[in-house]
Amino acid sequence: MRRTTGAAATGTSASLRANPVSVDAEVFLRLADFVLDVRLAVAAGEVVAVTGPNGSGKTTLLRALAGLAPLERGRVTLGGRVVDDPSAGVWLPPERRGIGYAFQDLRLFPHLSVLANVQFGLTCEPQVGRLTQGGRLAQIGALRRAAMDKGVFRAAAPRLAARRQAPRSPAPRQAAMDSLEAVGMAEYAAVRPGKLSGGQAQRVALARALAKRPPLLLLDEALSAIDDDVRPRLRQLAARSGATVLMVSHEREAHKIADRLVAIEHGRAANSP
Amino acid sequence: MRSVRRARPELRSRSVWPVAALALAALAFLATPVAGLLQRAPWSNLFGLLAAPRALDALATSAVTSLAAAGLSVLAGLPLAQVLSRARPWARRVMRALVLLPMVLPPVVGGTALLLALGRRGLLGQWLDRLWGWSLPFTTAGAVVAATFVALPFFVVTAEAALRSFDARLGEAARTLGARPSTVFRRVTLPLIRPAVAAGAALAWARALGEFGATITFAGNVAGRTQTLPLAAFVALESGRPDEAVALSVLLLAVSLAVLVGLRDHWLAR
Repeated sequence: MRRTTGAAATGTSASLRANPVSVDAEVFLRLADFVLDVRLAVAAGEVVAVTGPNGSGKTTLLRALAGLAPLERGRVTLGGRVVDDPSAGVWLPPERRGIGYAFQDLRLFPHLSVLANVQFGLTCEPQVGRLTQGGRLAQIGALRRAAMDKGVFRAAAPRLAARRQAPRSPAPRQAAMDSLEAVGMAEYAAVRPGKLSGGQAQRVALARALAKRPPLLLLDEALSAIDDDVRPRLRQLAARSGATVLMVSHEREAHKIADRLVAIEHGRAANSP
Repeated sequence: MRSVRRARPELRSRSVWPVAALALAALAFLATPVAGLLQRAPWSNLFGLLAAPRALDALATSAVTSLAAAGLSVLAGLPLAQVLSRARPWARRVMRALVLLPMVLPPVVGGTALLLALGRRGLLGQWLDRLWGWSLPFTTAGAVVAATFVALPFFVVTAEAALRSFDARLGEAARTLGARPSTVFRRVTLPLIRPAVAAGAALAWARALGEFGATITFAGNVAGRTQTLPLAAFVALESGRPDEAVALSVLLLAVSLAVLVGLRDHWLAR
């Protein structure tokens, strides 16, 4: 009885592209050592490189958009939807913002295989009102999968549940493999992240951020450890993912590929649009 | 005195002797009772003694109560450890004092306190009795409550330490991937702290298995219901059946050693 939707999801997921969202942000927040006060407007599908010296607040800006650093004042709108507005008491948690985030420090899950890492986001319960417009069918597939996993989890012994690292549903698995293939890491699917080199791990982190076809892709020095001969291809991959892309990078090449640069200095935008 | 500044071999040869002798005496003090127990153990008849109805009853009661207490400790202890690991410092101090109290409290005091709280006329017990007709003293459930009271802190302390060392950045990554906090806990946090959860559960179980004071005070000493292995061993010794007491003790010793071996990576390798 669950077959039809599952099959439909399988057929769709491979060809899915992200439905980009526009970003309209007025960010004000204070951390222990500095203040971030930035306005940022990015059109849907635009690729923006965020530049600036170390400690200028680039990462904090990405974190604010992702919902990992709540605003003190201001407003973040993604795709026309307010996701953070302290004055209105609005705050959408990260899991409901439809973002893909490749962290500078990777943050791969050490207890999961490479494949399970990439698959992780595809097997999380879809949230009501999440910002993704595309991928409905894949989401329904993921929902069913998650529901079944839960059943397995409750019924079986903990040990069995731990083996459940790679759920057997074809749709998320295939999407994860596609994503791994795109970054050239498919042959490492069964490996634990701890066994990878820095560059390999970074590719996996990128694949994980891309796997869900997020409408907004946040890349924080996401290609820094990747070999020079591969990096341009992966940069293209990210830029062409269909998402709105914000990338923090020190590399000139990254700036060339971007539609626009946004420079931040001392927590303020130097050349805001 | 001069030798203090010398290289190690010198140090070992002289100044350490008195300390070594004292250390040896302390070790002997710990080991002698075990040796005495093993030496007196009725090896030839061990299984016969353990298979006697009285012993089997105690064995079953102990198995049920200790496992239930360990299970309850995990169920109640995980959320508590989670809250503790995230609490503000002052709140953590208060909560941790409450958590550690059963560890330092004489078990008999714990049992008395339980009686006054959950006994038929107790603070909470009178309501349990009036509303549902529940009465915990002198029941197996009461023995489980007593064992959980003393075992829970062991689990909470172990789990909290693991949760505090858990890398919160992984949780953030999971959130951006679409995981709700509960999903993060189930799919990232819990698998990563599983060794500590297992160790904490084993410690709690071992503590529950050895529980005597709180059990006899709160739940009594009813054969087949609340008479656990330690109670049965005590009764056997008191009633002039030393062989039975020794046999039960050897069994408990074996279980304790097994727990120790099971936890060797967690405790002995530090």
